[in-house]
Amino acid sequence: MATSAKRYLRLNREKNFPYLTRQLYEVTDNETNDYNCIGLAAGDKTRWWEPEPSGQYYWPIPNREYTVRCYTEAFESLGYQKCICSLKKRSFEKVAIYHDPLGCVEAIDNFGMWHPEVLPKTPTHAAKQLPSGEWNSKLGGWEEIKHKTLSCLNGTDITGKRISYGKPIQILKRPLK
Amino acid sequence: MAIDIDIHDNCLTPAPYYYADTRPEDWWRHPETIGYDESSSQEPEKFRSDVEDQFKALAKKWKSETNGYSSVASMVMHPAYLEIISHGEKMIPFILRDLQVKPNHWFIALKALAKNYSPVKPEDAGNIKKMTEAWIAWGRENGYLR
Repeated sequence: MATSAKRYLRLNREKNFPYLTRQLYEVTDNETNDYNCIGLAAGDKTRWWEPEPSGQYYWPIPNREYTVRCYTEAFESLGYQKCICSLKKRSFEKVAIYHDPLGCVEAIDNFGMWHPEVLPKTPTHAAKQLPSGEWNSKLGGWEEIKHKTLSCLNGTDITGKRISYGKPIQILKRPLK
Repeated sequence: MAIDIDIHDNCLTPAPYYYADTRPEDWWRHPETIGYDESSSQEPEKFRSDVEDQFKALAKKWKSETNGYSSVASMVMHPAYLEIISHGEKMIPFILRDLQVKPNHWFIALKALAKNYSPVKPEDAGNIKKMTEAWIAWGRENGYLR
């Protein structure tokens, strides 16, 4: 009987996420730049969703800002509403928006100076809850993974030399159709 | 006391015959004409490969260090990406060739280097394959790609 072996990220990618152990995740789709975590959470695997101001990337609402509020509004336009619980509820589907309160690459200028004032607003990632209660994430241009907890993608790095998604800041839910 | 000043040493004195730029407007598209004797067949290739090597090194660093970011805004703030943009339009052919190999987020750099022009249709925004096709077609029309 043929069994499909679980796939994992390459070690140099895995090490960006200090809480991501192999008991907690597996790769579910190959790496691609075709879509990102926001697109995946919104159910669109054909486009890269990004509120890039010049409009080169898809964004569902006119407001284009790199803020948790703007990302929340984008999901609200898809029928989601804010909630505070990330546990699986039978009649709802949920998404989580991450931000990094301490560090991400935008905060480090060309002289290596850290600008904390620009950070708390910047979302870093989004994950979508699966019917099993696990979470589905696309790691930028890397692979898509299924992970058991939201916190296993937590992490921060003020040097800007490591990918860091921070931690979940906003949970949203919508009734299952 | 008389002071002997050569007026041409004064940096405020215009000296057009020193600095007149006689190069054609699109000189950067023809690296073989830059700083080398046209009769030499070796140097132009060396120049082109130097720029290409520089691009490849910067692109490799950028990809390896930013491809896990979920946001293009984070990717394009990387010093290697900014350095590629800072080299100007001579980088466009290399970026387009890299796009031909594998689509990636070169669109912000291309738009900056193309003087804020984007050939991507609004309805194709975010569709990486169509954005790539639009930029490659633009590159061919404008002589950056053969």
